[in-house]
Amino acid sequence: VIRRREFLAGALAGTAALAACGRRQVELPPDRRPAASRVAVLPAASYDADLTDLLRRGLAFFAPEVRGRRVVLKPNYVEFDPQGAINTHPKLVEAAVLAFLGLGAAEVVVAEGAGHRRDTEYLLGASGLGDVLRERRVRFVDLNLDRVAEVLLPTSFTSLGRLWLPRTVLDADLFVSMPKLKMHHWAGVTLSMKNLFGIVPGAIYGWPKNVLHQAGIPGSIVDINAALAMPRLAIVDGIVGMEGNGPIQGEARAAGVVVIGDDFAAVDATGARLMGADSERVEHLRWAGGFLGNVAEERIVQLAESPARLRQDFALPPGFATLRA
Amino acid sequence: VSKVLARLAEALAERRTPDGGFAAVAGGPADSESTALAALVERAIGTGVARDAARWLVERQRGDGAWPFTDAVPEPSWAGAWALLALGAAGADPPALARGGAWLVAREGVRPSRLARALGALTGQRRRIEHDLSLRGWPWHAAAASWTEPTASALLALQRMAPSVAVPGARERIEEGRRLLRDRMCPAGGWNYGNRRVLGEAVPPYPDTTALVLIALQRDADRARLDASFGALERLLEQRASSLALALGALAFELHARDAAPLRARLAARVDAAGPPAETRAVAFALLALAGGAKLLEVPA
Repeated sequence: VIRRREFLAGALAGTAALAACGRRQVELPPDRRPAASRVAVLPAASYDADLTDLLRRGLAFFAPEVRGRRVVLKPNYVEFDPQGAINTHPKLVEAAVLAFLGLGAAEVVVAEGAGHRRDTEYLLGASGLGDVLRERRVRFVDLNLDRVAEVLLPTSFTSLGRLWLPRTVLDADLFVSMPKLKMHHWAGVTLSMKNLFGIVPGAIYGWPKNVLHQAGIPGSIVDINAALAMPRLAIVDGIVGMEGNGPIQGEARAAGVVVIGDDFAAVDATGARLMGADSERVEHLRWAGGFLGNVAEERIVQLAESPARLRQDFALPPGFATLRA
Repeated sequence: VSKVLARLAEALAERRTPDGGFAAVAGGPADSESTALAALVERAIGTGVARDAARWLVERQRGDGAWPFTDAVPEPSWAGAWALLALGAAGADPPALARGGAWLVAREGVRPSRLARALGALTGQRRRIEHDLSLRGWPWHAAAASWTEPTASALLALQRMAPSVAVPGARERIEEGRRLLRDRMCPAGGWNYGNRRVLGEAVPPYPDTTALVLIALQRDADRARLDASFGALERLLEQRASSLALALGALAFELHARDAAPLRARLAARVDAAGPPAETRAVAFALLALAGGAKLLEVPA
């Protein structure tokens, strides 16, 4: 039986993802979950707030060891729409640059491999990120064109087996996923884990990275996340998120929140709760919650604000009515 | 313009690797697309900057006729279409071109089976997808579906080869590729990565992709589609234009016998003010657009 969303995801490719259809019987990998994960939920009314200070306060919970080290920030610039809320706001990226430099990082690099557009000059210019990079003298690495290394995927939620991944990410002393808080019409939600599709190099896999759609989106998300070994952190831009038909064509929704944590599954489960979605019903989170990170509410220690207090019920993507918590 | 050309040529030279190839960005490894575009520039301008580029490509052609993206990533790459274009322009050995052409003709995007398409139609999903899933185009990767840009570049390569190198099956693939591109056109003209609608909502076109498709559809007889897409391209370039979009736009205008001078002037002014673009691809297309390189992308009647 073809599962509906996987058919659609394959159709996004212009094909049906028969190879990804049906439930793959996968052996659950060794349990890597910590006993509990901490996730900070920080209110932020607008992009004009002192975001550097906010991030300093949020990062203090996690005390990342960055002194003298190289930090790689991976925001979401999959696409740009002047009327939309697709991207991690450049002001939050700028605040993260300043916050990590303030913590003594030797270098902060901004890296992205856009999923739809090949024209990075356009993306950086139109989105305003280019201005921030220039003003702060921050190096940008186009992950679509970066040097790569072949990585064997330790899990098999897809049949991918291996992927070429960019050296800039693999060699990072601290890798920071900086997604937007969004609904996603194929994956349910897109947060710090799904944001890693953007590290898969377009020069090899294309624009879009349709190999991942063909292999199955939830499984690809989990396989990629499980393959990365470097220290990591997530900073989610939920100041303005996207509801409905995300990740590109949904509506902007002011949620007034920034989420920080070092367990991507726990951060994304918290993000889902903030959007009024049941994280256990998001396929990739349910899978990740079985071995990779904490998704169950009782295993997440919420710092700063309670997600329940800041929860806003985002409009669900088409076909995801059962996601509502 | 000569000052701008010199700056662009200098930028291209900075992307040359010790083995004679060219990298996508300064400091990267040589890859087939960048090296092919550099070889086209060499053919157009003849400065010697890329005198070894064609040799680099010849040496890396695989036994099956394909090209890898880089030495480190040996699997067959979509960039083979650009290698064929470059080697065709450089007058490479016809058997090598025929082998490359045969590989390109055999390469196609993953398509759903008839059963899957029928199920999709029955469950109503087909109506939400809209484009024709049965058409064969070209993929970025062997395990992916057909998308706009690799289809456009493959179409261009096969059309350029057609008069001089016989490739069995090329004519059918060219015709089907054209049909796929027409089918994927955005509702108001122009092209993006390859979805005109997602879940019923129109997806807007991109200027660079639109220009590349227009270059590939030089011999298309559907004037209404071409005119709509040139209209879309003009609107997009008015809004915000990168060096890449201006360069490809100028080439598309020239190859369709439209006035490309204003776009060339904007491109030269942009490079003069902001410096050469970061990506080799944009540098190479800018050189081709400003230095009479359009003829190397011309599809014979």
